[in-house]
Amino acid sequence: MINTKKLEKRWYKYKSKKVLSSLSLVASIPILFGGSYFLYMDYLKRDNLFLLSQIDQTKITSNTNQSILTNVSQEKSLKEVSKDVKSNSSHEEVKEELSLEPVIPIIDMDKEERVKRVVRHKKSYKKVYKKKHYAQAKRQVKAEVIPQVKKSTVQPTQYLTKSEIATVSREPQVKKFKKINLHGTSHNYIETIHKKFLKSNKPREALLLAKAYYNKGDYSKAEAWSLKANKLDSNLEESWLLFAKAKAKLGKKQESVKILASYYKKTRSSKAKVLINKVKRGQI
Amino acid sequence: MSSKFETLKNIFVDSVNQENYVELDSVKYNYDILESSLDKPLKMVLLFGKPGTGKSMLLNQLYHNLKSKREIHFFEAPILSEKEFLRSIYESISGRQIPAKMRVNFDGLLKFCQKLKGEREIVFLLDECQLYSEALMEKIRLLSDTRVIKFIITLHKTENEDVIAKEHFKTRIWEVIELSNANEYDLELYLQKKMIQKGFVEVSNMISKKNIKYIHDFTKGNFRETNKYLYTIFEIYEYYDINEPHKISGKKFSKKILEMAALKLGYIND
Amino acid sequence: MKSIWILFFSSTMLFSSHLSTLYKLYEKQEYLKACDYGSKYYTKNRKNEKYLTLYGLSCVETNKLDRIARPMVELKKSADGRANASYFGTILLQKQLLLQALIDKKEIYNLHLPKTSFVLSKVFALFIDKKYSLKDDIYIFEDSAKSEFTYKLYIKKDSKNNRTYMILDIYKNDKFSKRYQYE
Repeated sequence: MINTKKLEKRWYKYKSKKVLSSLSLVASIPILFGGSYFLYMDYLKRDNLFLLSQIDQTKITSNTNQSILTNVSQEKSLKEVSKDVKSNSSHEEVKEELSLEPVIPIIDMDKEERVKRVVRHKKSYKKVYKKKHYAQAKRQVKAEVIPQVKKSTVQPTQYLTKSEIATVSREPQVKKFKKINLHGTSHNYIETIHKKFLKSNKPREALLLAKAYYNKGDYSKAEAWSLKANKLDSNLEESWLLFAKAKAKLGKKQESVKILASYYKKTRSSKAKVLINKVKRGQI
Repeated sequence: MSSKFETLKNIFVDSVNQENYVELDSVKYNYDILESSLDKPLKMVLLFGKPGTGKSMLLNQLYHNLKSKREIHFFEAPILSEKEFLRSIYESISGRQIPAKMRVNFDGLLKFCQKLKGEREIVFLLDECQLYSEALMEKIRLLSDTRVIKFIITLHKTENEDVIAKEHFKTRIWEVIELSNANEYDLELYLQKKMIQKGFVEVSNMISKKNIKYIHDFTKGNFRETNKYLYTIFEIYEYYDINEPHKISGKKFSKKILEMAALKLGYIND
Repeated sequence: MKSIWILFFSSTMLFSSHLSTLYKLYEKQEYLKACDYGSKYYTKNRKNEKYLTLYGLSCVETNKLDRIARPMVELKKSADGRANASYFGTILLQKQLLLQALIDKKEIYNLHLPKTSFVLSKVFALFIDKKYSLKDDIYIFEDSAKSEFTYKLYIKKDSKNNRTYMILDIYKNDKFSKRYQYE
């Protein structure tokens, strides 16, 4: 005998489940279509993200796919700076020159290649973020390293970066974008690390100092400090490489190669090998 | 007062009964082959198929049809003890009862059979032979070699049995009859005939082709499963008929009850 | 059944971004490809100012300079967009003026247009200041800032197509480097 009442209840449960599932399936079709249409429309209206470009320029790219091109903001104001005015010449016309440079947009590649979900609170978050960091961003833009090609009529940091100029004038391309190392070459940094080293006497700090001097262009000091780091820890590969690089920069190519070769003999390091080739070819 | 559904329900009680035999085309076809094989010089006939496809029913039907015409014996249940088996064989052939303590010597039996060669032809129907041991099967084979005894055996169709069947009996002159599950058409006929047999014509008309398809989806055309399913269905019908007759209409087969029965038997997961 | 839904769902999610492709091409400095790609999907992305900017910047580096006219007129929503529009406008104007000067011999001295770092602007500035040497109808300029660069500007007539081109050749260390061909 079967408990028919119970069975009937079970049946109602089963039936309701069935109906619900079929309803939800039917309902999801228009939702899907609507959702995808909406997403598509939002994708077309991407103007508010453009405003982020001024803030994004301050982010340091390290791990993410996000590529940052230095933003060159427009210089519209007229500048009265004489180019060829000599101190003795009188009443030379001060040329008023207007310079226009393109503003290359910042593209968030991660975002572009993912699904764009409409999140309204994101917009408000952007506004908050914008306000918060705009001031900071402004300060950092001014501290940027100015590229070489310069017109004296124009304020610094207004030009395209090295790579952009290189692309225009077909120079050997800067393929990798440099990390914007705000601390790398400031004198404060060197002093700080120097102090640290005096306290701790660690080879790592010495190596950092050496790197800082190398980046600054002070190759003799870089050489000295990398040697010091090496004396403290002879297994520190970087100290070897940096020492050799600094030497090569100072023109002592042969010595540099010798050092690298002896290091390579000991350790069979691939980096050393690569560096040897570079030094030989003069590609440092 | 018992509901008509109770009677209906009992139609579908699973039993190997000659009364319950339903003649379908496919079944008749197999039956004819089986019957004709008895006249062929075959030693053994293998009837195999999945459980619930009607092997026992077929043997049963054969036995009842032929028992008056020829020497035929039906072992419905397998006799697993070799001793008992040989005893039964001998007793069936000789018609004599052997005292309980006496054992039948196989060689003696063999010789006995060989003596009967040309005079008699005895048919043994053995059901559920997958349970017999290999040794016993060998003896059965040897007995059939005498050409005095014919064996019709049934097996469940499983992977192993298939292999065994081939291995052991490959070289024998065999008739192999395979029984399979019914298709939708046969299933419909089966249900209709079963009900009409007992006089439930209007009930059999209630079942639509869609219902048959639904039933077939679950039972896969297996007679045993179908019997079980229909039994459950009519059991539920019986309950409603007695307690809540307003819930069932007399015109169409209730899909609700079909689903309820399916839930109960586990065909549908809830 | 389930798999169909997953497929359907995922297909709506997978949006190939034209902007990212365009940017990648621009980054790789495949300007011609970028310009053509941008032109192909222009209509779909015309409301995206970043897209328009990149498209314009790519086409500036090609011979199809005239294409920057479209984004120029459509970049107007943001300040950066307007700045870039002015940039494109300046370059276009400078190209037109040079064409007039070379073909129609129009006098375009004493004009003060904004300067850009694009080579055509440099040449224009030098032209205005008459800092060139003329030889066989070829104007030769020397880049004061980058002494290794020399520019040659001249008119070329294609008799087959009956077209006139203004050619700007860039030489680096007296070796031919790049050519811009404008109509």
